[in-house]
Amino acid sequence: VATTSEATLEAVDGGGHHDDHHEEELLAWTVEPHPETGVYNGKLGMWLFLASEVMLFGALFSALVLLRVGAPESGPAAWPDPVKVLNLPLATLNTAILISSSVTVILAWVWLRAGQLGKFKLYMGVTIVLALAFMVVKTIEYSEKFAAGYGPSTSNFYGTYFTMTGLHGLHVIGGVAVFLYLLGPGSKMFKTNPKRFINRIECAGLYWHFVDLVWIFLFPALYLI
Amino acid sequence: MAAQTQKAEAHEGVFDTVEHARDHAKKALMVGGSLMVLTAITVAVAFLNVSIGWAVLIGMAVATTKGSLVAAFFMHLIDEKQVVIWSLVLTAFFFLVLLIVPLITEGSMHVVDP
Repeated sequence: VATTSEATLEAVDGGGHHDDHHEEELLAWTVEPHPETGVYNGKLGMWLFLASEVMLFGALFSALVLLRVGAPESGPAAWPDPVKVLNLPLATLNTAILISSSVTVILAWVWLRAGQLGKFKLYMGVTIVLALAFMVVKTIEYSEKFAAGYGPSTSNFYGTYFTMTGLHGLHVIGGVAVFLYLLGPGSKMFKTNPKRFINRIECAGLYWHFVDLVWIFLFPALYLI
Repeated sequence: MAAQTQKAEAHEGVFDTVEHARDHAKKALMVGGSLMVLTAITVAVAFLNVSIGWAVLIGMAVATTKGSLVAAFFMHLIDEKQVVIWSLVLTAFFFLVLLIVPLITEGSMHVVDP
């Protein structure tokens, strides 16, 4: 039987409080910092996940450096000048798009922290549009290459180009899926447990900035050097 | 109306002030602008007639600067807790091992098999 105060809170929070309270008993330190680590568990989990992602992309960067350094100076196996064979203007445009999306996801989080759900939704919506624009540009770039007869099996250069940009693209798609959830059904949590929802946006933002960070290094490594 | 008041009281102390949000937003826009300028520099360098060694050095130096800005300000590493910092220091060490070990192998291959 619910007490009077529980019944009032349920009315205030739209009925979601009870479930959240039960969930917080199961998942500790989702809102407040853990006394041992100083950060809430979700944030530490996200950083450890990103550390594993560093090693994933690190292995590919290592392969790129090894293949680049080991490529002969001339002949069919020589490493081509990427400025001549890849579409630098499109890649530069995508860099600008991704940097802009990193700014908008920060703005979404900043305004959510100020309690302004409307502004959060606006900037999160812009972030999703920018992420989709990135994928559209990437699709145009890939289509050009496939139409010209270049694919991952063409050479070491194209193998690393398609593997690294393809894996990065999958991360962008994953980010869009998370953002769509947080903008849509996931945003209901703001009414019942705003601090926890703000934390979720911070974690999603950390992931997105990492995706931006990877592109910042991919761009010169693949397109310019 | 009463429900709204109760709700506001329940969430009191959760939210930042609008002024704080504006300051934070301004800082994010400044960092974003700096990243755009650095991107333009990266592209410009590609068209300069420099050796591959210099191109790699300049390209990676600019990328590292950009990456540091993203990590420090967008990912808040500038004021993050020690547990996160040390986890990343450990990751950076293993990342460097991952990068350097294959290169040493490549170097020794050239010595053994000229």
